[in-house]
Amino acid sequence: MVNMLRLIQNENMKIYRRIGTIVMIGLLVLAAIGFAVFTKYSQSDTIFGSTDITKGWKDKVEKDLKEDKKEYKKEKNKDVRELLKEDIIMNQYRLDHNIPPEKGTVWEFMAQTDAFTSLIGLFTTIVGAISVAGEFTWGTIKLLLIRSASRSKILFSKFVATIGFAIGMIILLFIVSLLVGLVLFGSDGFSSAYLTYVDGKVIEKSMGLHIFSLYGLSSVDMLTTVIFAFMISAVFRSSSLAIGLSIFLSFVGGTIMSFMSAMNINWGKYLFFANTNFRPYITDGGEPPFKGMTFGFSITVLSVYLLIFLAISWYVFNKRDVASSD
Amino acid sequence: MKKEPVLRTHNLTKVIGKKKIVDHVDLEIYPGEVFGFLGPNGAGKTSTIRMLVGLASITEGEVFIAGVNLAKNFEKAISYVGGIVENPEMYKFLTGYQNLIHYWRMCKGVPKSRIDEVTRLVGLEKRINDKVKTYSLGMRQRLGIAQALLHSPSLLILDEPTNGLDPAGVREFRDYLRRLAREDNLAVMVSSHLLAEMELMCDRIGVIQDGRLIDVKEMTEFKNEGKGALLIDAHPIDKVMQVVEKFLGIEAIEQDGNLLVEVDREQIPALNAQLVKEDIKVYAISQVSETLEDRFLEMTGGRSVG
Repeated sequence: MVNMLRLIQNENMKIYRRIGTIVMIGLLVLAAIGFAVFTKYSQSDTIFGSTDITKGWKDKVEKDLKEDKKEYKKEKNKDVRELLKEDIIMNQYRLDHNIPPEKGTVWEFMAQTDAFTSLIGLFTTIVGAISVAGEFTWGTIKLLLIRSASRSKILFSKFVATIGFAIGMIILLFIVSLLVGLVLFGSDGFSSAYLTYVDGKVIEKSMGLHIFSLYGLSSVDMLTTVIFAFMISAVFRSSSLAIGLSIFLSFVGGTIMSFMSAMNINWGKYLFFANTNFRPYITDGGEPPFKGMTFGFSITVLSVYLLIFLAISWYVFNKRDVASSD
Repeated sequence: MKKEPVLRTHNLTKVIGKKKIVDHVDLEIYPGEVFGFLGPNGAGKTSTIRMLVGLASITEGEVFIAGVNLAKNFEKAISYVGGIVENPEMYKFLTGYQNLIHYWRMCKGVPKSRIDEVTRLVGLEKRINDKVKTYSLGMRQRLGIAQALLHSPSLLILDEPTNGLDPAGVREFRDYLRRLAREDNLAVMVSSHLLAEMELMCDRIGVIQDGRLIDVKEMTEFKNEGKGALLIDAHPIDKVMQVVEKFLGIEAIEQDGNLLVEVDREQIPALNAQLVKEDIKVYAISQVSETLEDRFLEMTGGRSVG
């Protein structure tokens, strides 16, 4: 009966009119700026801060290329040879097509800001947890649920608004880092492409898209934590429990996993926090924690978990009586 | 002239664990009346109301609002209902106006101008753009009423609405409810354990105890049932006592220099004539109507909650 967009509008109003949210947004912006300043003035050993990277890079790449070729001839290990070959082809491509490496440019800085997605994850967890449990603690749930909108619709609008907050924060992080990066590191290399090596060929990608895909990869972890918090919040109606438990899990999850991985407890791969890191499958980000894990496996396990979390939230939120004065 | 009831419940029952909180309640509330839902704390008032507005599930029985089954078509049935359950909790970090916008977005086909209309109706125009956390309880109550009336409901359900209001606020609220029922033909259901208040506010009263609806009566019926007591202010008091006791053949009680007797209404003129004949100076004879409180205690046996 009621327009979904209006419900989402309501949830957005309740998110962005809170001082807490404004503080979180401010913190993210400050963190990005602070990180940029820190990077620029603390790392003197890189070319960061040098004004003349456009001229210097060719000499350096040529030098690297020569060394790599020498190494390649001597090297016996097949894996290392493969890596060296990749480097050689990439560097040759750079020289041929005049594409400077991102080192010292705004892009190198931005590639590092994806670490802030965990901060966004924390903030989104808070927003999501308050979005459901807050209504109970404020007592407003008693007015919210006696309207011509089903509980499912209300829960869905809250979920959408929460995810919307996360996406908004990621876009904000991107824009702020880009602006700060351009101011501090200059626009040299801004238009250069990101190179990847696939099956013996070099592929050019847009740098902006590459950074976004880095953010996207980091967001998988965030999405899981947020949905978990959402469930706890709907089931226990306590935002502090939801926030606390989610943060606890995301800290301890990693430790438990490396322990299980080290002890070769293979069923650990079915735990949800074993499957939130997609980097091993997509970029060159190391090995997955357990043997036999593939991209498809992780996607499946994770989807099953998330669906269960969402189903529990939905079921409890729909069925639960709103009890007296709590 | 029997109108169609706005609210009808049939065998409404709520069981939590093994305890019957609400036990087969049949209620009918009609347009234009203020219905009082009276009972001691823990009798099942709030549990009943929670089921009526869909906050709690119905164990057994049915609720029809404007003829629509609440359990089967919640979104439609509830669109006829405006309500406040317990305190009117609002989003304190939003302004009064933003709160109303929030609820306005949740109803269908209501023009935005209605927000200003209800704001004026509850007399909040001057403070509507202030944050709700700066509001007094009375102002929050007004805002609560405003949000409940936003979609022009046919049934207004208010759970313990005067809790925490000062006497002036209670009075204003009472007049306001009566006006709504009279002028807009709204059916109003008010729950309370404050008897004196219900007496002034309601047209009909239902008494609930231990989850059962033990009595539903018109307010006037409620008061006039039973024998009326008569308070006689006359002089000299000793002689009055003699005459009255002789005339009625029962004992009279002296109370603050007046005489209190139980007497049928029909006997009052004759008694008065007798007093005058005996040369007694009669200053006043007044009927002491039993208060609702007496009736209530009588009915519920003055028992404590158990």
